[in-house]
Amino acid sequence: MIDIILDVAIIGIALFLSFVSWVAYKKSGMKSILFLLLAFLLFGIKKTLENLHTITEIRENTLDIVATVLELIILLLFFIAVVKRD
Amino acid sequence: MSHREEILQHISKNPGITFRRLSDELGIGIGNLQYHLYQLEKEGMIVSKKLGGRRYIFPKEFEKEYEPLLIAISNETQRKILLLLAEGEMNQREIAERLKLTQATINYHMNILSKLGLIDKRKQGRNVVYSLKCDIEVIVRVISEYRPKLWDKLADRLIDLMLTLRGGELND
Repeated sequence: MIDIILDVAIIGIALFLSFVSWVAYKKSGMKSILFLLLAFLLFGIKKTLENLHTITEIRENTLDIVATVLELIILLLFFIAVVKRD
Repeated sequence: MSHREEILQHISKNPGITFRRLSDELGIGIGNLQYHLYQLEKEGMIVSKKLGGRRYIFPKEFEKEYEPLLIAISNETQRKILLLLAEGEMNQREIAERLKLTQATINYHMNILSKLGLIDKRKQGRNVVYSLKCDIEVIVRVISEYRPKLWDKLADRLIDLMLTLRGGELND
């Protein structure tokens, strides 16, 4: 039970950080912040997918692969956000 | 003097006053004040804009200045820079030291303030010195009334963090 509560908290924080990034992008127009926004959103999606097996019959093996791919994309997005010129 | 003339006179004396403060200072009811402001705005005597949950009201002479000013004060670092410049002229290094931010970050914000037409810059030896181009009293009044939301504060810090991470890249 505690793991579900923690995951919900993580998803909530990821969504909040996505919203903050959106506000920052609207204020500054910096494209690099859009990559951050996408990274936070994907992090929330990844966490949601990791918990899907509790409500649907998706194979955990498939979810593991998708989650790992998402982790890679998230790291790439953070990297691009830091190095990208606006 | 009619209510409307009194309101207009008060706004002319206090450009950038908020709706709530105007209501308090003149002792006019909210509904009544709303009606008069609507009429004054319709007649083109005043301009107003909502920001951070407050409505800022300016006389029509501020038609060109008020939007850039409100854009600038919606950013925490730009607010701090404007308040520092209200103390007197400063160069970028001094501002960066006072605000404990990198010069690249300050440079980014100075460029925005310059584009908005709120600051002047002039060469003084090897330095560029910045000064305020608009009324100090108005800036201080508007900034003192501004209450940013939590996500606004966090967004401003995120912008500064991104600028710091990328160092001098954004320097013009």
